[in-house]
Amino acid sequence: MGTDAITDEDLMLRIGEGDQTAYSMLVNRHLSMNLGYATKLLGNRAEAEEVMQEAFIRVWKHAIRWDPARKTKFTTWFYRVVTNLCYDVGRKRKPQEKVEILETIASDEMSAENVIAVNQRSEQVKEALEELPHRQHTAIILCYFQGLSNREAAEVMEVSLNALESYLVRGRRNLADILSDEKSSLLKEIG
Amino acid sequence: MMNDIKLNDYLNDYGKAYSVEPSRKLVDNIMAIPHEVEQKSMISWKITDWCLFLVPRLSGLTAACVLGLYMGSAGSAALAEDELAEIEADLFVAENATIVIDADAETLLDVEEFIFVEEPAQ
Repeated sequence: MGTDAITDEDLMLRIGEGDQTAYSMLVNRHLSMNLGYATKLLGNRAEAEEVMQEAFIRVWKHAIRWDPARKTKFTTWFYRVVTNLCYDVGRKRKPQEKVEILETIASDEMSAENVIAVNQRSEQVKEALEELPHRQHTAIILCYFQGLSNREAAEVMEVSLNALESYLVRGRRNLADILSDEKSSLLKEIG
Repeated sequence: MMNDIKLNDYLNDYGKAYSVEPSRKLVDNIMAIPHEVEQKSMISWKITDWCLFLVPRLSGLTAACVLGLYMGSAGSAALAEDELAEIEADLFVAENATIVIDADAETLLDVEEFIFVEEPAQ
């Protein structure tokens, strides 16, 4: 049986029995994706790495209590853990504390001008996302960047499907407003 | 306002720029968790865990019992007072063949009238 055939939920059961190989497999499957998610939510790589360490400590500790009868999907549960940890970090931050600028694209395939333009746009989007309310921010990241369906994202956020869709619509609208404001003010500065 | 296509372009750029790969150090730290963190068993045999579990619950239960006893005893005393008053009233009626209300009762009625008198609207 290939390793892909083993579900995350089976791995959790094996981790509950102290199986470290199962734990490694689960880390390999979910670390990268969730690190990206935490980084986008927090806008800070170092904080996201701390969140991921704490999240995997919870996986290791919680595995013993993992109940397959509850039919909870591991991905949903894990996204919830990461989301809540990110919210906790966000709450502990001082209001005026600004997060660092993340690493930027430096691709050989792109011209220097393109790289600058893409980095500038990404930075604008990052700032605009930070201005959104938490729920709208989370909904957009889960659906647009993590590739979750609306139903899955609603389960992660523990809201109804209608509420999730409302967060997405309002989030996109607000994002477009903020970005067009920024763009027009930038044009004014240049002009 | 920015249109949907433009917004999607912006979001795509952001998605590419902020897709991060975990550092070697992070992977090592996470892989070391099983060696460093103890996996708790379902039932703990540590006395401190049991104390932490039992003390608040027992305190709550004791407080509830004490409160219940206190309230219960106060309630029965109040009932006894009512009963006494009733007995006294019966005696009063029995002593006087005709039902005469105590002189104080008149005052009480006056007071009641005073309280409930409505002032004419101006």
